[in-house]
Amino acid sequence: MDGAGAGLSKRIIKETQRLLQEPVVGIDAIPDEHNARYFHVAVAGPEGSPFEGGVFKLELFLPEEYPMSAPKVRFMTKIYHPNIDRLGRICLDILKDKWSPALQIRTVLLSIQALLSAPNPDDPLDNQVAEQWKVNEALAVSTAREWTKQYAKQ
Amino acid sequence: MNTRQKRLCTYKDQLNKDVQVVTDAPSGPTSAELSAVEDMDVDEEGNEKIRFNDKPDVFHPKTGKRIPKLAVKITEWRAVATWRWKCAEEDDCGICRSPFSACCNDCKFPGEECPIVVGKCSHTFHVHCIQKWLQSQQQQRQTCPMCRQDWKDVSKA
Ligand SMILES: [Zn+2]
Ligand SMILES: [Zn+2]
Ligand SMILES: [Zn+2]
Repeated sequence: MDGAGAGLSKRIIKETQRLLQEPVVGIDAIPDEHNARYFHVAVAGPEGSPFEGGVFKLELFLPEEYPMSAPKVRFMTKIYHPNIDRLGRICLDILKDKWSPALQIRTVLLSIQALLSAPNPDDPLDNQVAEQWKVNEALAVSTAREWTKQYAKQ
Repeated sequence: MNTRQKRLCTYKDQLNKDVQVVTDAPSGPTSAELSAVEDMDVDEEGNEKIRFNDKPDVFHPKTGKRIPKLAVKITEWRAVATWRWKCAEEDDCGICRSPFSACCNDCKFPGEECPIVVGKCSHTFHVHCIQKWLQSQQQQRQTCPMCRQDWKDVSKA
């Protein structure tokens, strides 16, 4: 009513309702009490990945321009992954230049879950971890497992 | 031929929409006659089109004459309560996720003020939604949000 961005768009309300009513398996996304654009997210480490058994906390924020620009997502839980840096920033094309307003919170979180299943050291964000992943994958995987045990316990 | 008076009657179609029909029948069409009307559409130019059931012809057992499916001629019709855009595929706008029968997130009322547009790729959006997206794309390439092909509006052609 007060022009673009002032209120919460119908689309955000719809997306939130659907996330709560039909949650994605292994993903919790709860809107903050005080800010409906801020979501507390928990992603379960996918089975068969070095992150299995862990629960990773993320924060997701819908900027004013959403859905014309991508949600801002960051890992809060420490994770050993070639596409996630020490500050929890995620290297994922759909969060950057491949964003499209046809994507949703749900698809973004599914993509992040998929990224945990399939680390991509050829498109790294954390060069050290990516290097380790390429040079000695077995060691990298076991480090990721250890970090999962140490930092991503419920 | 045209000495009969045109009559206006209202009935509910199969989707429970109110439809007004002007016919040349003296007392208006019967409900059985109207049930032969399967669908009514408005094409892009606003012309009305009526499609009839394609049930096989029925012949009178004694006279062998074909029984007309619609005894009256519908000369005009008007959908009163509902209308819809004729869309390529999806019924929801892929950007704002509202149905095309409703307006975009920035408008208050659906209809001509918030029209829909069709791309060369056949994806359809509210014009306000796709404009916002194209303006927000920093790259020179303007792409369809659904399929990432170059966006070209073909609905004006
Ligand atoms: Zn729209
Ligand atoms: Zn609009
Ligand atoms: Zn398209």
